[in-house]
Amino acid sequence: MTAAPISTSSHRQAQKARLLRSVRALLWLAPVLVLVGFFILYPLVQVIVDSFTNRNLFHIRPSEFVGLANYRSAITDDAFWSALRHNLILLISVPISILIGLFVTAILYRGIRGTRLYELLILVPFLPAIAAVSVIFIYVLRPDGPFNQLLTGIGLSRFAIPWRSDTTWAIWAVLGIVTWKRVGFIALLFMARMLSIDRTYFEMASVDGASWVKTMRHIALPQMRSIIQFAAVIGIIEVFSFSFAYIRVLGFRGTGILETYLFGLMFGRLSIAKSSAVAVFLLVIAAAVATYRIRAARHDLER
Amino acid sequence: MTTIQDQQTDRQDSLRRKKKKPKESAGITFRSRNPVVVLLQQAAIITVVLISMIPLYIALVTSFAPATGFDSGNIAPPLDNGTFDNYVEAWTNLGFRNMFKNSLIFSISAALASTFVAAVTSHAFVRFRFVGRRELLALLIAAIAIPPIVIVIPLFVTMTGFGATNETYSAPLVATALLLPFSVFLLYSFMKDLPEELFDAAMVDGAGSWQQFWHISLPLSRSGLVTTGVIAAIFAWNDLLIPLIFWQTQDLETLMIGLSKLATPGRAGIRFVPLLMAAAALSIIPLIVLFALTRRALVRGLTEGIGK
Repeated sequence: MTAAPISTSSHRQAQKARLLRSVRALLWLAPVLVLVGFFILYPLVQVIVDSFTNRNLFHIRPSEFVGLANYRSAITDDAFWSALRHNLILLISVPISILIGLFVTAILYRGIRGTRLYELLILVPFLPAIAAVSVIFIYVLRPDGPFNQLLTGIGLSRFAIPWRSDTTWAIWAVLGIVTWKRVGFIALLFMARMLSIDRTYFEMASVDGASWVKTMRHIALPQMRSIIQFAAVIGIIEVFSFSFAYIRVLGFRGTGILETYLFGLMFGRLSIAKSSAVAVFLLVIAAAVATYRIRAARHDLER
Repeated sequence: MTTIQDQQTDRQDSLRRKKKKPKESAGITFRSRNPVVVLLQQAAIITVVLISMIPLYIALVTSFAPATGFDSGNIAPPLDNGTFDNYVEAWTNLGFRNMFKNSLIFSISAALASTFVAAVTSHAFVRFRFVGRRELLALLIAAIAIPPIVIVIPLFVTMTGFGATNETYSAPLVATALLLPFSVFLLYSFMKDLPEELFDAAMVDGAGSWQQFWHISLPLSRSGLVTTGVIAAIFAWNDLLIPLIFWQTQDLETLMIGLSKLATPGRAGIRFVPLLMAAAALSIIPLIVLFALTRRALVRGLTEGIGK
């Protein structure tokens, strides 16, 4: 067998080449590995470990393992459950803004008088920063503010409630504000995608006498699947990353969410441990979302 | 097989065709001929537009109202005695000039840094087949869903231990890292479609991987870079949490922090409203500029990368 030595050496060479490639890849990946490792992975492990201890912000005593005590104290706190409920309410903004975005896109693409102007105007709420939007709505939703005056003006004074202090409806007002800010950007995404679809598809459907609703459902929607998923991802990121800013600046009564709840445990009650336990709950919700997302992204990411 | 260029020109053509559409009405139009449908559509869109515009219109008009004598009795105060006093007051006395500067430093540096690192990372994922590639990519994408507050609190404890909070680099550095998963996800979805033959040809010509990155990956994913950078900048511009925790000193306050402090009950009085509205209006300017400059590339990037 004379072939054997050659094949081993070429095998070894291939192995060497593969190793070299991995080393080179590692060099390229060094920045992301360092940044993600130190700023995301390490804190993530830390937060899970801390949630089983009694660690506090000033290390008055060495922290001890306390088992599930922090979780127990979270789930026996009414504020925790109302916060969780508020998180879920704010997530409703994701499907609502997508639905409105699709509706607006369907009409604008079909073409009405002033399409281009409307396209721009709808985007306007996207421009001011979240804190600015919050400040504006604190005024707009004052008990004697413009919104309630409008309601009274059109004979709906029954609904003119003090939005900022009404513990039942305040969170729904926040949901409205969050959705209001996002719809324009979603519509921009969808409109851009619609315009990149070959127009002849729609023309053919039109020649065949399909109604516009049918054309949208059977021709446009399948093509827009991945942009809709992307809009959902952006929406979910926004709900998890920016709800804190809305809630904190708006300061509507009784609208605490898990983020503000754990922020209070940390900087109000100075308990790293208790806030970590709440953080783990948030992580579990995020993990559920991520699992769904990865499954959806799997085929997109394969080259 | 069509190349990227072909696809791009296809898309540009379809965009252009759409823009010219009203003139070449010889083509098929989808407009409804039923007047009731036309009316309903118009009404629906105008409703959405009005709901979008009115709160901002009220804020803008109110921001020019003189502080004395303002009451919410008239929704839109008359503009004849309009004044820029509130803007001057916010800019100088309330320290918005400094906050503006801090916000710009924060969002621009975080957006540039995260986009660059994301570009290097995506290039590596596209060009190298290494052990654990798929798993690492999946992990990064999964990290998108992690709520920042979960990370930020233990990170605050760690960084305080190093004495690394309240430095100019503190907040941008944390933001860069937290933006990375999403930026990589976005940019990778652009770069994975770059034609392999280009890289092979460059390799034959003796281009090293850095040159391939610099001369092929970066220029060919220009609209992807713009899209990623702009979205990162917008995320950073809107962020309250990271500056709140890592930039706690007063000279490092950002616009968001400043606005959140203005909104405290101490200033709940109606006479502060015009000032608050002026402060809020100031924060709109940068995004208008950013958007005006990048809108075209942004729209193209959004449809090329993720849309398909």
